[in-house]
Amino acid sequence: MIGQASLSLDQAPPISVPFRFFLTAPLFLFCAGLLLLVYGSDALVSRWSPITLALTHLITLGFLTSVMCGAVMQILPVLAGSAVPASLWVSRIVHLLLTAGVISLVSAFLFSFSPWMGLAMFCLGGALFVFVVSVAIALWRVKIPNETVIGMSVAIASLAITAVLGLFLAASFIWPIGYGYIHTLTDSHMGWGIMGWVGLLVMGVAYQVVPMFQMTPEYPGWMVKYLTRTLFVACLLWGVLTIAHTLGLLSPLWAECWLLLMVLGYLSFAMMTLDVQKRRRRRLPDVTLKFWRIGMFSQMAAFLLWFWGPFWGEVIGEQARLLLLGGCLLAGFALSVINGMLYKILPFLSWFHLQHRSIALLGFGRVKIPNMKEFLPDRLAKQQYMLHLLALMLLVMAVLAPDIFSRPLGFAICASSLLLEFNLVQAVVRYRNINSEISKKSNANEEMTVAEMSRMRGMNGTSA
Amino acid sequence: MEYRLNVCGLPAPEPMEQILGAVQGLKEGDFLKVSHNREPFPLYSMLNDDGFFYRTIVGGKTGFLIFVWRSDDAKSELAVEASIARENQ
Repeated sequence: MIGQASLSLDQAPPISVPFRFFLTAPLFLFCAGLLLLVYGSDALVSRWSPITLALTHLITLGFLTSVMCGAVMQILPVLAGSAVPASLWVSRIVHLLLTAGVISLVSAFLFSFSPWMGLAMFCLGGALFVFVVSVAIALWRVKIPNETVIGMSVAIASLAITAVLGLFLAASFIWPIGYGYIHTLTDSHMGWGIMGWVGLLVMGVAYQVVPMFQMTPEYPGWMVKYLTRTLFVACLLWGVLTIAHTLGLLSPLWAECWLLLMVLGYLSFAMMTLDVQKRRRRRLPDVTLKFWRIGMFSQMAAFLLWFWGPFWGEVIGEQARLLLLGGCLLAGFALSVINGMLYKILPFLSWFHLQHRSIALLGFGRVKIPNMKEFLPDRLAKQQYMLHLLALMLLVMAVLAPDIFSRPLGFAICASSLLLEFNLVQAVVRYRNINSEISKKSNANEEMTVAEMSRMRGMNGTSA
Repeated sequence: MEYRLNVCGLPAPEPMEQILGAVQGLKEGDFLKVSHNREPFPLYSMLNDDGFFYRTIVGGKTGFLIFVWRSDDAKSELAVEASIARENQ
Protein backbone atom coordinates (compact mmCIF):
# COMPACT_ATOMS: atom_id res chain seq x y z
CA MET A 1 0.00 0.00 0.00
CA ILE A 2 1.33 3.41 -0.75
CA GLY A 3 0.79 6.68 1.04
CA GLN A 4 -2.18 8.74 0.00
CA ALA A 5 -0.14 11.80 -0.90
CA SER A 6 -2.59 14.38 -2.09
CA LEU A 7 -2.42 18.06 -2.88
CA SER A 8 -5.40 20.21 -2.09
CA LEU A 9 -6.09 23.22 -4.28
CA ASP A 10 -4.74 25.44 -1.49
CA GLN A 11 -1.48 23.49 -1.24
CA ALA A 12 -0.86 23.22 -4.99
CA PRO A 13 1.28 26.14 -6.20
CA PRO A 14 -0.80 28.84 -7.91
CA ILE A 15 -0.54 28.95 -11.69
CA SER A 16 1.17 32.35 -11.44
CA VAL A 17 4.23 30.54 -10.03
CA PRO A 18 5.33 28.99 -13.34
CA PHE A 19 3.62 31.54 -15.58
CA ARG A 20 5.82 34.42 -14.39
CA PHE A 21 8.97 32.45 -15.27
CA PHE A 22 7.64 31.12 -18.58
CA LEU A 23 6.55 34.55 -19.80
CA THR A 24 9.82 36.28 -18.87
CA ALA A 25 12.13 33.65 -20.39
CA PRO A 26 11.50 34.36 -24.13
CA LEU A 27 12.16 38.06 -23.48
CA PHE A 28 15.73 37.21 -22.46
CA LEU A 29 16.08 35.15 -25.61
CA PHE A 30 14.86 38.16 -27.56
CA CYS A 31 17.58 40.26 -25.85
CA ALA A 32 20.14 37.63 -26.97
CA GLY A 33 18.96 38.10 -30.57
CA LEU A 34 19.08 41.88 -30.12
CA LEU A 35 22.66 41.62 -28.86
CA LEU A 36 23.64 39.80 -32.06
CA LEU A 37 21.84 42.41 -34.16
CA VAL A 38 23.70 45.23 -32.41
CA TYR A 39 27.19 43.73 -32.08
CA GLY A 40 27.15 41.43 -35.14
CA SER A 41 30.28 39.31 -35.61
CA ASP A 42 31.90 40.74 -32.42
CA ALA A 43 29.54 38.48 -30.46
CA LEU A 44 31.01 35.37 -32.08
CA VAL A 45 34.74 36.05 -32.02
CA SER A 46 35.76 33.88 -29.08
CA ARG A 47 34.18 32.11 -26.10
CA TRP A 48 36.06 34.56 -23.83
CA SER A 49 34.66 37.73 -25.43
CA PRO A 50 32.49 39.71 -22.93
CA ILE A 51 29.76 40.03 -25.59
CA THR A 52 29.75 36.24 -26.09
CA LEU A 53 29.59 35.77 -22.32
CA ALA A 54 26.62 38.17 -22.13
CA LEU A 55 24.95 36.26 -24.98
CA THR A 56 25.59 32.89 -23.33
CA HIS A 57 24.19 33.97 -19.97
CA LEU A 58 21.07 35.46 -21.54
CA ILE A 59 20.39 31.96 -22.86
CA THR A 60 21.54 29.87 -19.87
CA LEU A 61 20.28 31.99 -16.98
CA GLY A 62 17.71 34.18 -18.71
CA PHE A 63 15.92 31.50 -20.69
CA LEU A 64 16.92 28.01 -19.56
CA THR A 65 17.15 28.57 -15.81
CA SER A 66 14.00 30.75 -15.76
CA VAL A 67 11.90 28.06 -17.45
CA MET A 68 13.47 25.25 -15.45
CA CYS A 69 12.88 27.03 -12.10
CA GLY A 70 9.22 27.63 -12.92
CA ALA A 71 8.74 24.12 -14.24
CA VAL A 72 10.43 22.41 -11.27
CA MET A 73 8.20 24.26 -8.78
CA GLN A 74 5.05 23.11 -10.58
CA ILE A 75 6.09 19.70 -11.87
CA LEU A 76 7.34 18.53 -8.46
CA PRO A 77 3.80 18.29 -7.03
CA VAL A 78 2.51 16.63 -10.21
CA LEU A 79 5.24 14.01 -10.54
CA ALA A 80 6.20 13.53 -6.90
CA GLY A 81 3.24 14.76 -4.83
CA SER A 82 5.30 17.30 -2.85
CA ALA A 83 5.00 21.09 -3.08
CA VAL A 84 7.67 23.74 -2.54
CA PRO A 85 6.95 25.49 0.81
CA ALA A 86 5.47 29.01 0.46
CA SER A 87 5.70 28.54 -3.30
CA LEU A 88 4.09 31.88 -4.17
CA TRP A 89 6.60 33.89 -2.13
CA VAL A 90 9.52 31.72 -3.18
CA SER A 91 8.61 32.20 -6.84
CA ARG A 92 8.20 35.97 -6.40
CA ILE A 93 11.60 36.32 -4.71
CA VAL A 94 13.42 33.94 -7.09
CA HIS A 95 11.85 35.54 -10.16
CA LEU A 96 12.65 39.08 -9.07
CA LEU A 97 16.24 38.32 -8.06
CA LEU A 98 16.91 36.12 -11.09
CA THR A 99 15.58 38.74 -13.51
CA ALA A 100 17.52 41.57 -11.85
CA GLY A 101 20.60 39.31 -11.63
CA VAL A 102 20.60 38.44 -15.33
CA ILE A 103 20.18 42.10 -16.32
CA SER A 104 23.04 43.22 -14.06
CA LEU A 105 25.31 40.33 -15.14
CA VAL A 106 24.79 41.11 -18.82
CA SER A 107 25.37 44.83 -18.13
CA ALA A 108 28.57 43.99 -16.24
CA PHE A 109 29.87 41.98 -19.22
CA LEU A 110 28.88 44.56 -21.81
CA PHE A 111 30.08 47.66 -19.98
CA SER A 112 32.92 46.09 -17.90
CA PHE A 113 31.58 47.82 -14.82
CA SER A 114 32.41 46.10 -11.51
CA PRO A 115 29.49 47.43 -9.40
CA TRP A 116 27.07 45.72 -11.84
CA MET A 117 28.93 42.47 -11.24
CA GLY A 118 28.60 42.95 -7.47
CA LEU A 119 24.86 43.45 -7.86
CA ALA A 120 24.64 40.40 -10.15
CA MET A 121 26.45 38.29 -7.55
CA PHE A 122 24.03 39.40 -4.84
CA CYS A 123 20.89 38.88 -6.94
CA LEU A 124 21.84 35.61 -8.64
CA GLY A 125 23.39 34.16 -5.49
CA GLY A 126 20.24 35.07 -3.54
CA ALA A 127 17.84 33.75 -6.21
CA LEU A 128 19.59 30.42 -6.61
CA PHE A 129 20.09 30.00 -2.85
CA VAL A 130 16.36 30.50 -2.15
CA PHE A 131 15.41 28.23 -5.05
CA VAL A 132 17.82 25.41 -4.17
CA VAL A 133 16.91 25.41 -0.47
CA SER A 134 13.13 25.48 -1.01
CA VAL A 135 13.19 22.77 -3.71
CA ALA A 136 15.51 20.67 -1.51
CA ILE A 137 12.91 20.88 1.30
CA ALA A 138 10.15 19.73 -1.08
CA LEU A 139 12.32 16.87 -2.35
CA TRP A 140 13.19 15.86 1.22
CA ARG A 141 9.46 15.59 2.01
CA VAL A 142 8.71 13.14 -0.81
CA LYS A 143 7.48 9.94 0.81
CA ILE A 144 8.47 7.46 -1.91
CA PRO A 145 11.22 8.94 -4.10
CA ASN A 146 10.95 7.77 -7.72
CA GLU A 147 13.66 8.17 -10.36
CA THR A 148 12.39 11.62 -11.35
CA VAL A 149 12.78 12.79 -7.75
CA ILE A 150 16.35 11.45 -7.75
CA GLY A 151 16.98 13.16 -11.11
CA MET A 152 15.67 16.45 -9.71
CA SER A 153 17.73 16.08 -6.52
CA VAL A 154 21.03 15.59 -8.36
CA ALA A 155 20.14 18.37 -10.82
CA ILE A 156 19.48 20.77 -7.94
CA ALA A 157 22.80 19.79 -6.33
CA SER A 158 24.49 20.43 -9.69
CA LEU A 159 22.82 23.83 -9.91
CA ALA A 160 24.21 24.70 -6.47
CA ILE A 161 27.73 23.68 -7.60
CA THR A 162 27.35 25.61 -10.90
CA ALA A 163 26.20 28.69 -8.97
CA VAL A 164 29.11 28.56 -6.50
CA LEU A 165 31.63 28.22 -9.37
CA GLY A 166 29.87 31.06 -11.18
CA LEU A 167 30.11 33.27 -8.08
CA PHE A 168 33.87 32.58 -7.90
CA LEU A 169 34.20 33.58 -11.55
CA ALA A 170 32.12 36.71 -10.98
CA ALA A 171 34.35 37.58 -8.00
CA SER A 172 37.41 37.17 -10.24
CA PHE A 173 35.89 39.86 -12.48
CA ILE A 174 36.28 42.27 -9.55
CA TRP A 175 39.44 40.76 -8.00
CA PRO A 176 41.39 39.17 -10.91
CA ILE A 177 43.12 35.77 -10.50
CA GLY A 178 45.48 33.80 -12.77
CA TYR A 179 44.36 32.71 -16.27
CA GLY A 180 45.02 29.01 -15.52
CA TYR A 181 42.53 29.08 -12.63
CA ILE A 182 39.99 31.07 -14.67
CA HIS A 183 40.19 28.49 -17.47
CA THR A 184 39.62 25.56 -15.10
CA LEU A 185 36.87 27.37 -13.20
CA THR A 186 35.10 28.31 -16.44
CA ASP A 187 35.26 24.78 -17.85
CA SER A 188 34.01 23.33 -14.55
CA HIS A 189 31.23 25.96 -14.30
CA MET A 190 30.14 25.17 -17.87
CA GLY A 191 30.46 21.42 -17.36
CA TRP A 192 28.35 21.40 -14.18
CA GLY A 193 25.78 23.71 -15.75
CA ILE A 194 25.23 21.79 -18.96
CA MET A 195 25.94 18.20 -17.84
CA GLY A 196 24.62 18.50 -14.29
CA TRP A 197 21.87 21.11 -13.99
CA VAL A 198 20.47 20.88 -17.54
CA GLY A 199 21.53 17.35 -18.52
CA LEU A 200 20.49 15.53 -15.35
CA LEU A 201 17.22 17.46 -14.99
CA VAL A 202 16.26 16.76 -18.61
CA MET A 203 17.13 13.10 -18.08
CA GLY A 204 15.22 12.73 -14.79
CA VAL A 205 12.13 14.48 -16.12
CA ALA A 206 12.31 12.71 -19.51
CA TYR A 207 11.80 9.30 -17.88
CA GLN A 208 8.31 10.47 -16.89
CA VAL A 209 7.27 13.11 -19.39
CA VAL A 210 8.47 11.51 -22.65
CA PRO A 211 6.28 8.37 -22.22
CA MET A 212 3.51 10.49 -20.61
CA PHE A 213 3.21 13.13 -23.35
CA GLN A 214 4.80 11.58 -26.42
CA MET A 215 3.18 8.13 -26.13
CA THR A 216 6.47 6.27 -26.27
CA PRO A 217 7.34 2.99 -24.53
CA GLU A 218 9.04 3.42 -21.14
CA TYR A 219 12.82 3.91 -21.01
CA PRO A 220 14.62 0.65 -20.08
CA GLY A 221 14.71 -0.08 -16.34
CA TRP A 222 18.52 -0.10 -16.04
CA MET A 223 18.73 3.38 -17.54
CA VAL A 224 15.98 4.81 -15.38
CA LYS A 225 17.43 3.28 -12.23
CA TYR A 226 21.17 3.84 -12.62
CA LEU A 227 22.11 6.36 -15.30
CA THR A 228 21.19 9.67 -13.60
CA ARG A 229 22.77 8.88 -10.23
CA THR A 230 25.85 7.28 -11.84
CA LEU A 231 26.41 10.36 -13.99
CA PHE A 232 26.13 12.64 -10.97
CA VAL A 233 28.79 10.66 -9.11
CA ALA A 234 30.86 10.68 -12.32
CA CYS A 235 30.53 14.49 -12.48
CA LEU A 236 31.82 14.72 -8.89
CA LEU A 237 34.84 12.53 -9.75
CA TRP A 238 35.45 14.59 -12.89
CA GLY A 239 35.53 17.67 -10.66
CA VAL A 240 38.15 16.03 -8.40
CA LEU A 241 40.30 14.99 -11.40
CA THR A 242 40.07 18.52 -12.83
CA ILE A 243 41.20 20.07 -9.53
CA ALA A 244 44.06 17.54 -9.31
CA HIS A 245 45.14 18.49 -12.83
CA THR A 246 44.98 22.23 -12.06
CA LEU A 247 47.16 21.73 -9.00
CA GLY A 248 49.65 19.81 -11.14
CA LEU A 249 49.04 16.49 -9.35
CA LEU A 250 47.68 14.56 -12.35
CA SER A 251 47.98 14.57 -16.12
CA PRO A 252 44.99 16.21 -17.91
CA LEU A 253 44.50 12.88 -19.69
CA TRP A 254 42.80 11.42 -16.60
CA ALA A 255 40.05 14.06 -16.59
CA GLU A 256 39.68 13.80 -20.40
CA CYS A 257 39.33 9.99 -20.34
CA TRP A 258 36.85 10.20 -17.48
CA LEU A 259 34.87 12.84 -19.37
CA LEU A 260 34.74 10.51 -22.38
CA LEU A 261 33.06 7.83 -20.23
CA MET A 262 30.55 10.39 -18.96
CA VAL A 263 29.80 11.68 -22.44
CA LEU A 264 29.09 8.11 -23.56
CA GLY A 265 26.48 7.94 -20.77
CA TYR A 266 24.77 11.10 -22.07
CA LEU A 267 24.97 9.77 -25.62
CA SER A 268 23.26 6.54 -24.59
CA PHE A 269 20.40 8.65 -23.19
CA ALA A 270 20.14 10.62 -26.46
CA MET A 271 20.11 7.46 -28.55
CA MET A 272 17.58 5.77 -26.29
CA THR A 273 15.30 8.83 -26.50
CA LEU A 274 15.42 8.71 -30.30
CA ASP A 275 14.74 4.97 -30.14
CA VAL A 276 11.67 5.19 -27.84
CA GLN A 277 10.35 8.09 -29.93
CA LYS A 278 10.69 5.93 -33.04
CA ARG A 279 8.62 3.23 -31.33
CA ARG A 280 5.86 5.58 -30.10
CA ARG A 281 2.34 4.17 -30.07
CA ARG A 282 0.40 7.09 -31.55
CA ARG A 283 2.08 8.38 -34.67
CA LEU A 284 0.41 11.78 -34.67
CA PRO A 285 2.49 14.83 -35.63
CA ASP A 286 3.87 16.42 -32.48
CA VAL A 287 5.98 19.57 -32.38
CA THR A 288 7.53 18.75 -28.98
CA LEU A 289 8.83 15.51 -30.42
CA LYS A 290 10.55 17.45 -33.22
CA PHE A 291 12.18 19.83 -30.72
CA TRP A 292 13.44 16.83 -28.73
CA ARG A 293 14.83 15.15 -31.84
CA ILE A 294 16.82 18.25 -32.73
CA GLY A 295 18.05 18.32 -29.12
CA MET A 296 19.25 14.73 -29.22
CA PHE A 297 20.94 15.08 -32.64
CA SER A 298 22.65 18.28 -31.44
CA GLN A 299 24.02 16.36 -28.47
CA MET A 300 25.50 13.84 -30.90
CA ALA A 301 26.94 16.62 -33.06
CA ALA A 302 28.54 18.14 -29.94
CA PHE A 303 30.13 14.77 -29.18
CA LEU A 304 31.65 14.60 -32.68
CA LEU A 305 33.03 18.15 -32.32
CA TRP A 306 34.55 17.31 -28.96
CA PHE A 307 35.86 13.81 -29.64
CA TRP A 308 37.52 14.69 -32.97
CA GLY A 309 38.54 18.10 -31.65
CA PRO A 310 41.98 18.34 -33.35
CA PHE A 311 40.47 17.33 -36.70
CA TRP A 312 37.64 19.87 -36.52
CA GLY A 313 40.04 22.46 -35.12
CA GLU A 314 42.11 22.15 -38.31
CA VAL A 315 39.07 22.21 -40.57
CA ILE A 316 37.14 25.16 -39.12
CA GLY A 317 39.64 26.70 -36.66
CA GLU A 318 39.85 26.12 -32.90
CA GLN A 319 37.81 29.17 -31.81
CA ALA A 320 35.04 28.30 -34.29
CA ARG A 321 35.05 24.68 -33.08
CA LEU A 322 34.67 25.74 -29.44
CA LEU A 323 31.88 28.19 -30.32
CA LEU A 324 30.10 25.56 -32.38
CA LEU A 325 30.48 23.02 -29.57
CA GLY A 326 28.90 25.49 -27.11
CA GLY A 327 26.20 26.33 -29.65
CA CYS A 328 25.33 22.65 -30.17
CA LEU A 329 25.03 22.08 -26.41
CA LEU A 330 23.27 25.31 -25.40
CA ALA A 331 21.13 26.20 -28.39
CA GLY A 332 20.90 22.86 -30.19
CA PHE A 333 20.35 20.62 -27.19
CA ALA A 334 19.21 22.59 -24.13
CA LEU A 335 17.23 25.36 -25.84
CA SER A 336 15.45 22.94 -28.20
CA VAL A 337 14.44 20.52 -25.45
CA ILE A 338 13.26 23.21 -23.03
CA ASN A 339 11.42 25.15 -25.78
CA GLY A 340 9.70 21.92 -26.84
CA MET A 341 8.72 21.03 -23.29
CA LEU A 342 7.10 24.45 -22.81
CA TYR A 343 4.54 23.42 -25.44
CA LYS A 344 3.47 20.51 -23.23
CA ILE A 345 4.01 21.84 -19.72
CA LEU A 346 2.13 25.14 -20.08
CA PRO A 347 -1.05 23.68 -21.66
CA PHE A 348 -0.98 20.75 -19.22
CA LEU A 349 -0.68 23.00 -16.17
CA SER A 350 -3.42 25.29 -17.52
CA TRP A 351 -5.72 22.31 -18.05
CA PHE A 352 -4.88 20.87 -14.62
CA HIS A 353 -5.48 24.11 -12.69
CA LEU A 354 -8.74 24.87 -14.46
CA GLN A 355 -10.05 21.32 -14.08
CA HIS A 356 -9.07 21.35 -10.41
CA ARG A 357 -10.69 24.72 -9.76
CA SER A 358 -13.81 23.83 -11.71
CA ILE A 359 -14.30 20.62 -9.72
CA ALA A 360 -13.60 22.32 -6.37
CA LEU A 361 -16.09 25.14 -7.02
CA LEU A 362 -18.67 23.69 -9.38
CA GLY A 363 -18.27 19.91 -9.63
CA PHE A 364 -17.14 17.86 -12.62
CA GLY A 365 -18.31 18.84 -16.09
CA ARG A 366 -20.04 22.13 -15.18
CA VAL A 367 -17.54 24.13 -17.23
CA LYS A 368 -16.00 22.55 -20.31
CA ILE A 369 -12.23 22.74 -19.99
CA PRO A 370 -10.51 22.88 -23.40
CA ASN A 371 -8.06 20.12 -24.26
CA MET A 372 -4.32 20.84 -24.33
CA LYS A 373 -4.20 21.54 -28.08
CA GLU A 374 -6.88 24.21 -27.72
CA PHE A 375 -4.69 26.13 -25.25
CA LEU A 376 -1.78 26.20 -27.68
CA PRO A 377 -2.65 25.42 -31.31
CA ASP A 378 -0.18 23.21 -33.20
CA ARG A 379 -0.11 25.60 -36.15
CA LEU A 380 1.54 28.40 -34.16
CA ALA A 381 3.91 26.04 -32.37
CA LYS A 382 5.03 24.61 -35.74
CA GLN A 383 5.74 28.10 -37.08
CA GLN A 384 7.93 28.83 -34.09
CA TYR A 385 9.66 25.46 -34.54
CA MET A 386 10.55 26.40 -38.11
CA LEU A 387 12.02 29.72 -36.91
CA HIS A 388 14.00 27.89 -34.23
CA LEU A 389 15.33 25.48 -36.85
CA LEU A 390 16.29 28.40 -39.09
CA ALA A 391 18.11 30.05 -36.15
CA LEU A 392 20.09 26.84 -35.52
CA MET A 393 21.15 26.59 -39.16
CA LEU A 394 22.15 30.25 -39.14
CA LEU A 395 24.12 29.64 -35.94
CA VAL A 396 26.31 27.07 -37.70
CA MET A 397 26.82 29.44 -40.64
CA ALA A 398 27.45 32.43 -38.35
CA VAL A 399 30.22 30.57 -36.50
CA LEU A 400 31.87 29.77 -39.85
CA ALA A 401 31.27 33.18 -41.46
CA PRO A 402 30.44 35.64 -38.63
CA ASP A 403 30.60 38.77 -40.78
CA ILE A 404 27.83 37.56 -43.07
CA PHE A 405 25.53 35.54 -40.83
CA SER A 406 25.70 37.04 -37.28
CA ARG A 407 22.96 39.61 -37.86
CA PRO A 408 20.61 37.27 -39.75
CA LEU A 409 21.10 34.88 -36.81
CA GLY A 410 20.15 37.67 -34.39
CA PHE A 411 17.08 38.43 -36.46
CA ALA A 412 16.01 34.74 -36.50
CA ILE A 413 16.44 34.47 -32.70
CA CYS A 414 14.38 37.65 -32.19
CA ALA A 415 11.61 36.34 -34.45
CA SER A 416 11.58 32.89 -32.84
CA SER A 417 11.50 34.26 -29.28
CA LEU A 418 8.76 36.78 -30.10
CA LEU A 419 6.57 34.08 -31.61
CA LEU A 420 7.23 31.85 -28.61
CA GLU A 421 6.19 34.70 -26.30
CA PHE A 422 3.08 35.34 -28.40
CA ASN A 423 2.12 31.64 -28.25
CA LEU A 424 2.59 31.49 -24.49
CA VAL A 425 0.64 34.72 -23.92
CA GLN A 426 -2.22 33.33 -26.02
CA ALA A 427 -2.39 30.23 -23.83
CA VAL A 428 -2.31 32.35 -20.67
CA VAL A 429 -5.12 34.59 -21.98
CA ARG A 430 -7.20 31.48 -22.76
CA TYR A 431 -6.53 30.24 -19.24
CA ARG A 432 -7.64 33.55 -17.73
CA ASN A 433 -10.85 33.66 -19.78
CA ILE A 434 -11.94 30.20 -18.67
CA ASN A 435 -10.85 30.91 -15.12
CA SER A 436 -13.07 34.00 -14.98
CA GLU A 437 -15.95 31.93 -16.45
CA ILE A 438 -15.54 29.49 -13.55
CA SER A 439 -15.49 32.41 -11.06
CA LYS A 440 -18.64 33.90 -12.58
CA LYS A 441 -20.53 30.60 -12.41
CA SER A 442 -19.34 30.02 -8.85
CA ASN A 443 -20.48 33.54 -7.80
CA ALA A 444 -23.83 33.00 -9.52
CA ASN A 445 -24.25 29.72 -7.62
CA GLU A 446 -23.43 31.45 -4.32
CA GLU A 447 -25.91 34.25 -5.03
CA MET A 448 -28.59 31.68 -5.87
CA THR A 449 -27.89 29.84 -2.62
CA VAL A 450 -28.12 33.06 -0.58
CA ALA A 451 -31.37 34.04 -2.37
CA GLU A 452 -32.79 30.57 -1.76
CA MET A 453 -31.88 30.75 1.95
CA SER A 454 -33.48 34.23 2.28
CA ARG A 455 -36.60 32.95 0.55
CA MET A 456 -36.75 29.98 2.93
CA ARG A 457 -36.31 32.28 5.96
CA GLY A 458 -39.08 34.49 4.59
CA MET A 459 -41.39 31.53 4.20
CA ASN A 460 -40.61 30.32 7.74
CA GLY A 461 -41.29 33.83 9.08
CA THR A 462 -44.66 33.97 7.29
CA SER A 463 -45.74 30.54 8.54
CA ALA A 464 -44.69 31.47 12.10
CA MET B 1 -20.21 -3.68 -8.33
CA GLU B 2 -16.64 -3.41 -9.61
CA TYR B 3 -15.99 -1.35 -12.75
CA ARG B 4 -12.60 -1.56 -14.42
CA LEU B 5 -10.69 1.01 -16.42
CA ASN B 6 -7.24 0.70 -17.98
CA VAL B 7 -5.58 4.03 -18.72
CA CYS B 8 -2.04 2.75 -19.33
CA GLY B 9 -0.18 4.41 -22.15
CA LEU B 10 -2.68 7.19 -22.71
CA PRO B 11 -1.11 10.65 -23.14
CA ALA B 12 -1.61 13.15 -20.31
CA PRO B 13 -4.17 14.36 -19.37
CA GLU B 14 -6.41 11.67 -20.95
CA PRO B 15 -6.06 9.23 -18.01
CA MET B 16 -7.36 11.90 -15.60
CA GLU B 17 -10.16 12.91 -17.95
CA GLN B 18 -11.29 9.30 -18.37
CA ILE B 19 -11.16 8.54 -14.63
CA LEU B 20 -13.02 11.73 -13.67
CA GLY B 21 -15.65 10.94 -16.30
CA ALA B 22 -16.00 7.29 -15.29
CA VAL B 23 -16.51 7.94 -11.57
CA GLN B 24 -19.54 10.13 -12.27
CA GLY B 25 -21.53 7.00 -13.11
CA LEU B 26 -20.80 5.23 -9.80
CA LYS B 27 -23.87 4.35 -7.70
CA GLU B 28 -24.25 2.97 -4.19
CA GLY B 29 -22.10 -0.14 -3.76
CA ASP B 30 -20.07 0.59 -6.92
CA PHE B 31 -16.38 1.30 -7.17
CA LEU B 32 -13.91 1.90 -9.98
CA LYS B 33 -10.68 -0.06 -10.25
CA VAL B 34 -8.17 1.76 -12.44
CA SER B 35 -5.02 0.18 -13.87
CA HIS B 36 -2.31 2.80 -14.43
CA ASN B 37 1.40 2.69 -15.24
CA ARG B 38 2.28 5.72 -13.03
CA GLU B 39 0.94 7.23 -9.84
CA PRO B 40 -1.50 10.03 -10.76
CA PHE B 41 -0.73 12.49 -7.93
CA PRO B 42 -2.72 15.44 -9.38
CA LEU B 43 -5.85 13.31 -9.68
CA TYR B 44 -6.21 12.65 -5.96
CA SER B 45 -7.20 16.12 -4.82
CA MET B 46 -9.66 16.44 -7.72
CA LEU B 47 -11.32 13.19 -6.63
CA ASN B 48 -11.56 14.40 -3.02
CA ASP B 49 -12.99 17.76 -4.11
CA ASP B 50 -15.53 15.97 -6.28
CA GLY B 51 -16.77 13.81 -3.36
CA PHE B 52 -14.81 10.59 -3.88
CA PHE B 53 -12.37 8.56 -1.80
CA TYR B 54 -9.48 6.62 -3.28
CA ARG B 55 -6.93 3.98 -2.35
CA THR B 56 -3.81 3.26 -4.39
CA ILE B 57 -1.78 0.08 -4.27
CA VAL B 58 1.44 -0.79 -6.02
CA GLY B 59 0.63 -3.90 -7.98
CA GLY B 60 -1.24 -5.46 -10.83
CA LYS B 61 0.32 -6.01 -14.25
CA THR B 62 0.56 -2.28 -14.94
CA GLY B 63 2.25 -1.00 -11.77
CA PHE B 64 -0.51 0.86 -9.93
CA LEU B 65 -4.12 0.05 -9.06
CA ILE B 66 -6.35 2.94 -7.98
CA PHE B 67 -9.71 2.23 -6.33
CA VAL B 68 -12.29 5.03 -6.33
CA TRP B 69 -15.69 5.20 -4.63
CA ARG B 70 -18.20 7.80 -3.43
CA SER B 71 -17.13 9.27 -0.09
CA ASP B 72 -20.60 8.75 1.48
CA ASP B 73 -20.85 5.11 0.43
CA ALA B 74 -19.82 2.71 3.23
CA LYS B 75 -20.96 -0.32 1.24
CA SER B 76 -18.51 0.47 -1.58
CA GLU B 77 -15.71 1.00 0.92
CA LEU B 78 -16.18 -2.55 2.21
CA ALA B 79 -16.20 -3.87 -1.35
CA VAL B 80 -12.95 -2.00 -2.05
CA GLU B 81 -11.34 -3.49 1.09
CA ALA B 82 -12.30 -6.96 -0.09
CA SER B 83 -10.96 -6.32 -3.59
CA ILE B 84 -7.65 -5.01 -2.21
CA ALA B 85 -7.36 -8.07 0.05
CA ARG B 86 -7.80 -10.28 -3.02
CA GLU B 87 -5.11 -8.30 -4.89
CA ASN B 88 -2.69 -8.66 -1.99
CA GLN B 89 -3.13 -12.43 -1.75
